[in-house]
Amino acid sequence: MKRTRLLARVILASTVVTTAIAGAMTDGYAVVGRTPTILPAAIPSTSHYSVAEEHSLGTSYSGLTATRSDGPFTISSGSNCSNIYVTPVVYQTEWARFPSSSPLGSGWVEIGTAHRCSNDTKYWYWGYGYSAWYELGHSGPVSAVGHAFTLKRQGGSQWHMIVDYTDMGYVDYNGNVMTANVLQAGLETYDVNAVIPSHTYTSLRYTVNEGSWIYWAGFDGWSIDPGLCGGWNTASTWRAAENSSC
Amino acid sequence: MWGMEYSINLASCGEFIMLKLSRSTILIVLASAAAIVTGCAGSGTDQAVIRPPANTSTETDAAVGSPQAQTACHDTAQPFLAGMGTTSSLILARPTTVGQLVSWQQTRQGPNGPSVRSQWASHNASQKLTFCLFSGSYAAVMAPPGESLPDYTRAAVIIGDSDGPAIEYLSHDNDGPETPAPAAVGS
Repeated sequence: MKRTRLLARVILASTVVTTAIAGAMTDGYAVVGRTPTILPAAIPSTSHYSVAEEHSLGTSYSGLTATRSDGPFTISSGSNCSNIYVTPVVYQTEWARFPSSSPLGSGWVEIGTAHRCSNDTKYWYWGYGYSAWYELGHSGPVSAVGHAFTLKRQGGSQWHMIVDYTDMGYVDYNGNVMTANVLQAGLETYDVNAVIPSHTYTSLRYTVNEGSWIYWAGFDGWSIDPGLCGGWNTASTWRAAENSSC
Repeated sequence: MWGMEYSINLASCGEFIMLKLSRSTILIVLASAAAIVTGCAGSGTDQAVIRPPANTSTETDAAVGSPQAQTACHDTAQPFLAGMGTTSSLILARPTTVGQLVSWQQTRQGPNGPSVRSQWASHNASQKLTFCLFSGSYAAVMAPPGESLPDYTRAAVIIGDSDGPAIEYLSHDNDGPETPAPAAVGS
C-alpha cells in the first residue's frame, strides 16, 4: 500500500515536472538550476527524504554506485555522537531493494554515511534489511571528502558493500539470486533543524546481471519530503539539500 | 514459533540464560547446551538443568545472564541506546567471543537465510565480547523511502573489550533472527 502511494506520488510529481520542465530539457538532461521546485506530498513521518530513484528495468538490477562527498553539514547538537542510530541524525545513503517476489522475500542492502552532533561527526555504515535491520559494520569518524559508495552483487547471491575499492562486507543470500527492482540514493534526515547545503550524488550507475556499469538515464523517480529539496542536475546526478536552497 | 520457553542453567559457566524456543530448535539448543557443559566441565561438575517455562512476570536478573555481562550491558550498552527510544528491559546478557559471534552470524537466520561477512570477521576470533539484547521501543531508522516500519522492539548490542558498543541488529518481536544470540563463552 505504501509502495503504491509512493509510486502514485512519483507519477504525479513526474507529470507535474514533465510539464514544467519541458522547455528546460536538452538532450535528455535537465538544465542545472532550472529544475522546478517539486512540491512534496505531506507525509507524516519522522524521516524525510530527498532521494533519486532508478526502477524502469523492473527486477533487473545487480548493482548501484554513487559518488559523493561526506558533507560537511550542520547538524543539531546531540550526545552519544558515535551512535549512528540516535536522532538527530542525517544520512547520505543508498539502497538496493528487493521485491517480495524475491527468493527470500523483500528486503534491501544499504551503505551510507551517518552525520551526528554539532561537530558533524561522520561514520560510514553498511548493512541489510531482512525484516529486521542488521548492521554489518561502521567506520569512522571520517572526513568530508568524496568517495564512491557501491552496492554490488557478485557470484549470484552475495551483495557487497564497497567504499571506493574497499570491500567493507557482504550479505550472502545462501545461493539465492537476489535481484533489485528499485535503486535509490540521496538524503535521509531525522533532524528537522539540520542545515544541509546543496550537494550532489554523481555518477549514478547500475548494473544488470552483474555486468558493466551503466549510467542512469531515465529520471525514473524521486521522493522529496517537506523541509528538503532536490532535483536532477543530469539524469545521473541528483542534488539534495535541507533547510537550504537547491 | 515462540510457543515454548525454557530456562537453561549453566552455573559452571557463571551464566543463567533464558531462551524462547520453538519445538524445532529444542534439539539444537539441547545439543548446544551439552556442548557448553562439556566445555565447562573442566572447571567443575555442574550440569545443565532444563527448567520449566519461566514466568516472565517473576523473571529475575539472574535469568538474564552473568553478573559481569549484566553489568556491562547496563553500564555500557544501555546508555548507548539512549536517544534511540525507550529501553524497558534487558532480556539477555551473555559473554561471548568474536569467533562465536561470527559463527552465529552465518547461521542465525536459519539454514535458508542469509549469512554475512561482517566487520567482526577481521578481528581476533578469541577477542572477548559481551552480547546484550534489550526490549523496548526504538526508532525505526534505516528504512528506505516508502517503507515505513513500526518502531523496533528489540535492540542487540555488542560490546568489545577495546571497541565501543555497536548495534548488531534492530528487530521487532517476531522478525528477528531465528537464533537471537551467539553462543556463550565463559565470562
